[in-house]
Amino acid sequence: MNLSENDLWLLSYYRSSEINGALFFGRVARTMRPSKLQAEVTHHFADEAQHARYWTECINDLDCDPIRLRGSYQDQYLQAAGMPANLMEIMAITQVFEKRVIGQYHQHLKAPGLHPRIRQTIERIMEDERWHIKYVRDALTEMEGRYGAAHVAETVERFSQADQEVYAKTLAEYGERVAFLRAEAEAR
Amino acid sequence: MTVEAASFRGEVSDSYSAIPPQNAIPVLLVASEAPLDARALTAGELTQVAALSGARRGALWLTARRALRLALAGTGRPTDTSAYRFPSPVASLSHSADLAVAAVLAADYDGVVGVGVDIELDRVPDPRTASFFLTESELGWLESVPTDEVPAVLTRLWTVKEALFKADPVNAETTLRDYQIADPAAMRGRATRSGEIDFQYVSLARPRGVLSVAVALSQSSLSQSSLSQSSLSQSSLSQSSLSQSWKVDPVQTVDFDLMASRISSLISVPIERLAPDATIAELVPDSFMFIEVAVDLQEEFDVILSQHDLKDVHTLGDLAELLQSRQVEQANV
Repeated sequence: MNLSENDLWLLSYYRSSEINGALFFGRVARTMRPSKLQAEVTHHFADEAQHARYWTECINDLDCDPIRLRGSYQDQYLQAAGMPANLMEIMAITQVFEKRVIGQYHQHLKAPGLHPRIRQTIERIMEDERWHIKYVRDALTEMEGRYGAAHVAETVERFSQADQEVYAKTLAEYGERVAFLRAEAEAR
Repeated sequence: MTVEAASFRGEVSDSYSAIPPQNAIPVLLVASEAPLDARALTAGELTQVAALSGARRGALWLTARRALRLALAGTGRPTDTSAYRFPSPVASLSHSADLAVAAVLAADYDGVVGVGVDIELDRVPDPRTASFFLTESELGWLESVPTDEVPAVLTRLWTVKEALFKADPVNAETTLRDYQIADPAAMRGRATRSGEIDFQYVSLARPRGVLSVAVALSQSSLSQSSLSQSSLSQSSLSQSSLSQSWKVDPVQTVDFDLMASRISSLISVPIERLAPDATIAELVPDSFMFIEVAVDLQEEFDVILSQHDLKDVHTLGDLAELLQSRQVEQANV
């Protein structure tokens, strides 16, 4: 086995979060009217499913099997921020969440002694995540006409505050489990 | 292609269908002076008419809806008029005095993206207003028209411009002067809006005035018309327009049965269980599924709901009421 128990748990958590993201965007994609955004959300849904596959393959390549986890980072998010009620709120929470994901993967890349197979998987996923942030930012800008620029900004701020709360809770809960998270928790 | 509008048999006739010439785009016209029977209104139509103020406005609306419903039925299209929003790719309405006219595309054509109709009876535009709806070249041509013919010509050109405006699928920021008629003397012909979209129109003289019908043509249909010159450029243009355009579904007006039908398909619960007093928390316990239901209904009915709105929604009846009130409010913004 090439992974510690804690590393296996973290990669499985990533995988579970990507699966939940795919299921979420799949649901959103099938409700939307034909539009450029519908095509982008469908692309996003497919990306998240691919990312779950990348993590599954990465874990398998390291001679392990993913742990069956039902919970994900998104679940805590929605508890803290409340359910998004419309497409703009979905895009707002997605923007905040995607930034957090990129930040998290960046932190992970800096972890000492990172296995090259894990690095390869993170870098591959991050290419997609940058596009996710761009299309969501553009969609929110377009939505300002319909929802109001101030309302869009307030919504992003509300979800950003929830993000801070959830991340602090995550560090407290899992910092002991994952070395590079522990370092960040201690630095706070 | 040319637009071929069927004329109607009298001011109160219901419909008339003509055999169009080859390559024509047939449009069915229906005129009505009588209102739609209020007992025949759908839930969506009842909601729309309830939002109108004044008996006169309501009566005109019902007369126009009767014409539209007859035209829709005559072309085999769904007849709930509340499902159509204007500008529409298939239908248009106009009224003058107590007469309403509906124009409906007789069949679906890939190249047609909008239909417009306008009728003017017993009314002539003030010649001083011509500069507000005619372009410089059209005004130049008008100077050559004999003085005694100017009122009739101005009325006809006014209806053409109005029909072009109504047929334009993206007319939110356009004015009548943005539409250029190729030959202002012609009773049927071509027009364009700033070189961006092409139209075909036809004008029909009526005993008390004039009526014009226009259809807007998509870029892909324009490219088809140049096929004989260069099949290679036609192919690339068609692919380009396909990748950049989206078919716009008609917005539905909220009614409980339609809402329940959509929810039933989303959550796989028989529609018989979806009564107005059914509790949402019991029907949709999964919060992700509830997001899907909420977004789906907002997309279907073109409304925006907030977290705050949804806090007070406990039953399906509450949800239908909320959607109905938001649709009326947001349509009036």
